[in-house]
Amino acid sequence: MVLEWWTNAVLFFGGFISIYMIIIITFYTAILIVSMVQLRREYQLNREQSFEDIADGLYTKPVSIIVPAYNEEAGIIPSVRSLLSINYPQYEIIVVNDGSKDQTLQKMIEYYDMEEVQKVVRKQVETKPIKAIYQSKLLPRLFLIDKDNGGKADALNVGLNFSNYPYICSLDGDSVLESDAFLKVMKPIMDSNEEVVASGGSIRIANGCKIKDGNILEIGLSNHPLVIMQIIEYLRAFLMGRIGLSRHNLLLIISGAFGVFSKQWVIKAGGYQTNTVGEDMELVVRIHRILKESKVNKRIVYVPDPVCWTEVPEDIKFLRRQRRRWHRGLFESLWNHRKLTFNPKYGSIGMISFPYFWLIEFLGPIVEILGYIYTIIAIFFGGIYLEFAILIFLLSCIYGSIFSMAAVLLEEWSLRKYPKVSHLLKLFFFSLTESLWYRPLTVFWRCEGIWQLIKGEKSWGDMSRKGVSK
Amino acid sequence: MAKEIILLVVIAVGSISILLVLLAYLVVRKLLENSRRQQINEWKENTAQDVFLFLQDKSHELSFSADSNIEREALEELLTKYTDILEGDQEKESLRILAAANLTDYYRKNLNARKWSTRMNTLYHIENFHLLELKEELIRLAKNGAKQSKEEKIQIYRILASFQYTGIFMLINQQEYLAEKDYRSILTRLESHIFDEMIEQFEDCVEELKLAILDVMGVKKDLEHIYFLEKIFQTYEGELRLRALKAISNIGIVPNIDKYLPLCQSSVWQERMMAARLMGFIKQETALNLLKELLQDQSWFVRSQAAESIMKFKEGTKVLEDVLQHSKDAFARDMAWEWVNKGIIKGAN
Repeated sequence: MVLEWWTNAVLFFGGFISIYMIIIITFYTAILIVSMVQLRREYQLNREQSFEDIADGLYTKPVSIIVPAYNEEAGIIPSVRSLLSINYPQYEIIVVNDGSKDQTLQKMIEYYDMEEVQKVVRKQVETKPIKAIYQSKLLPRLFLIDKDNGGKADALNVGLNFSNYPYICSLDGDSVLESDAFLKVMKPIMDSNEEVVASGGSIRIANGCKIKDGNILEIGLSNHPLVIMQIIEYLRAFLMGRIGLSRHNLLLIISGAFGVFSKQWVIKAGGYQTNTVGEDMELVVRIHRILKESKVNKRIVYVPDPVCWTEVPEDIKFLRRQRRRWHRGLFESLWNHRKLTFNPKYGSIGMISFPYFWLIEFLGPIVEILGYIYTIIAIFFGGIYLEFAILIFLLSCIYGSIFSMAAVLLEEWSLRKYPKVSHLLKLFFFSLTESLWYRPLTVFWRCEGIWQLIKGEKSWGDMSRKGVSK
Repeated sequence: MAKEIILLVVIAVGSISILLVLLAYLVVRKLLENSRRQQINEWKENTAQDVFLFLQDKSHELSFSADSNIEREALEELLTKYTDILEGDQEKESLRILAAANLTDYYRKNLNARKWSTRMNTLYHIENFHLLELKEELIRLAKNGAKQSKEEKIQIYRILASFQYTGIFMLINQQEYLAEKDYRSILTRLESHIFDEMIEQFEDCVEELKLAILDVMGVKKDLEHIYFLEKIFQTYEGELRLRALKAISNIGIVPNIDKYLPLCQSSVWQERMMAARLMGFIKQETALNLLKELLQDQSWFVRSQAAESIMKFKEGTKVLEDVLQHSKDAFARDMAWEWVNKGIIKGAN
C-alpha cells in the first residue's frame, strides 16, 4: 500500500518535471522562430551606410554617457579613451567616482588634465552628496564627479542629475564599445519619433579579444572552457531571448552594461533604485509599469548589432558569486513589482513577461535541479523510474545543448562577429556539451542564490578585474 | 512510456542532424566568404596605387578594369574609402568618372535585384559616388517602382535631391509615409535655387514638409530667409510658429525685436525660452530688464537661456553677480551662480 502510493508519487513527480520542461521548450522554440525572422530581415545590409545620415548630426539626439566607477583604476583610463573615440555627433561623458578607495580619481584628474568647476546640479533624484565636479581642460565634454560611496545605482543617479542631455546611457567602467554602437542603439529612438524610450544593445565577451587603447583590434576566442560557455550563454540570451521578447515589447531587461534611456522617463520612474542588486532590470520594469499606468504607447527595444565588449569572470569562484547575485537581483525586481503578475491591467507585461520570468527564469533552476536529482536516484533504483529519468535527461539535452547550438548558428547566420571557421566549430562543439556540465553548474549556483534569499543574505560579492585593454 | 522516449530520441537526434547540416552549410559559406574576402583584399592591394594616381590626375593611364563581380566589389570598397577622405573637387570628379566607367551597368542591374539588401546597398553607393548616369533610372523607380520598399523610396528621393532634380517637390509632397526627419534629410541636400522654389509653394506643402522646411532654414542660416520666417511666425499658430522662432534664433539675426517681446509673457515655456534667446542677439538695454525677469521664470530651461543671453552682454557678468548678491529669488541666484562660474572652460555643451 505504502509502496504503491510511493511509486505513484514518484511517477507523478517525474511527469511533472517532464511536462514543465516541455512547456519551456515550446516557449523557447517560439522565441527562436521570432528571432530568426527578425534577424533575417536586416541581414547583410551595408550598415555603416545606413547610419551615415544620422551621423551627420543635424538632428541626432545628444546623449550623456554615465560611467560609474568604483575602484576601477586598472580600466578607467582606456575605457574613457574608447568612449572619446566613438562615432556620434554630440555626447558628453560623465565619470562618477563612487568613493573609490584606490587611485581612480587621481588617475583621471592627472591623465585628462581635469580641473574643478562650479556647477549647479538639479537634484531630480535623491543621492548621496557630491564632493566635487571636475571638467577636462583638454576635452570639455568629459566630466568627473567625485561623491561619497553609495553603490552603483546611486552613482548612476548622480550622473543622471548632472547630465545635460535628454538621453542617458549607463556604461560599465570596464567595457569597450564598438565605434558605431551609439548610432546603432540610438537609431530606433530616432526612427520611431521618440516612441522608443529605451534601447539596449548586445553584450559580448572581451576575454580572448585583442584590445588596445579601448579599441578592438581583433576578435578572438578564449581557450578557457568557462569563458567559451559564457560566450555561448550570452549569444543565446541576446540573440534568441531578447530579440524575441523585444519584438513584442515584452523586454524586461536592458543590460546595465550598455543601454540608452530617455532621461525624462528615467526621472519619472524615480531614477535607479539603490537597495537592490539588480538595478538595471528593476528600472526597466518600473518604466514599463509607469508607461502602462500612464497609458502611453511607448516601447522598450533591443538591437542585436550594436555591441559592447566586456570582461567576464574566468575563475569559477567569481562566476559562482555573479550568478548567485544575478538570481537574487531577478527575484528582487519581480518581488518589488509582484502586483503586475497576471494583472491584465499591465497587458502583455503582466500576462506574459512576468509569468515567464517567475516560472521559467526564477523557478526554472529548482525544477531543473530536481530533475538532475531524480535522474541520479533513478539510475540506482532502475525499473519504471529509469524511463522517466531517460525522458528528463533527453529533455534537458534539448533544452540545454540544442538551443545553444542553434544560437551559435544563428549568430553565424546573421551577425558573424567571429572571423575564423575554427571559432565557429569550437563554439558549436562546446555548446554540445553544455547540458553535461555547464548547465548543471549554473543551475546549482542559481539555486544557491535562492537559498541565500531564503536565509536573507544581502552581500554583493566582488569581482577582480584585470582590465580588458592592454 | 517507451513510445515517448523513442519520440524524444528521434526529436533530439533529428534536430542535432539538422543543426549539423546547417553547421556544414555555414562552415562552407564562411570558407568561401573568407577566400572571397582574401581575393578582394589582394585586388585592392594591387590596384590601390593605380587608383590613387588616377584620382590625383585624370590623365593617368589605368592598367585595370573591373570586370568580375569580385573586382567590382573591391573597387567599390576602395572608392568608398576615398569618398570619406577626399577633399578637392578635382579628385571628387575623377572618382566619379572612375566609378561611372566601371560600376554604372553593374548598379543598374543591382537596382532591380531580388534581394532588398542588395538594392539598398546599391542606392547608398550611387549617392556616395554621385552617379548622375543613373538619374533617369532612379526617377523611373521613384515614379513607378513597384518592388521598392519605403526605405528605398526615401533613399531614392535623397539621391535625386542631391542630384538637384527639379521635379523633387512633386515627388515628395503628399507622400504619406514620409516623416518629418525624412523630409529634412531630403531638403538638406538641395541647393538654394531648388530649395527656394519649394518655399514658394509652402502653402501647398503637407504639415511635415512645412516643419522640415523651417528647420532646414535654421540649419542653412541663409539671411534671405529671415523675412519669410517672420511672416510664418506672425501668421501661424502652435508648432509651426515655434519652429519659425527656432529657425530665426539659429540664424541669429533679429531685425526687429519688438515683435517678439510679448513672447516673454507666453504661457508656453518654449516661447519664453526663444524670447530669451533672441534678446541675447540684439543686446539692448530694454532687453536686459526683461531677461532679468526671465531669470526668475518657473522653467529651468528659460532661466538657463536667460542667463546665457545675459552673459552675451558686455556687462553680463556684472549683471549676474548683482543678481547673485541681491536677488530674492533662490532659483535666479542659483542660475546666476552657475553662469558666473561657468566661464572657466569653454566649449562644453
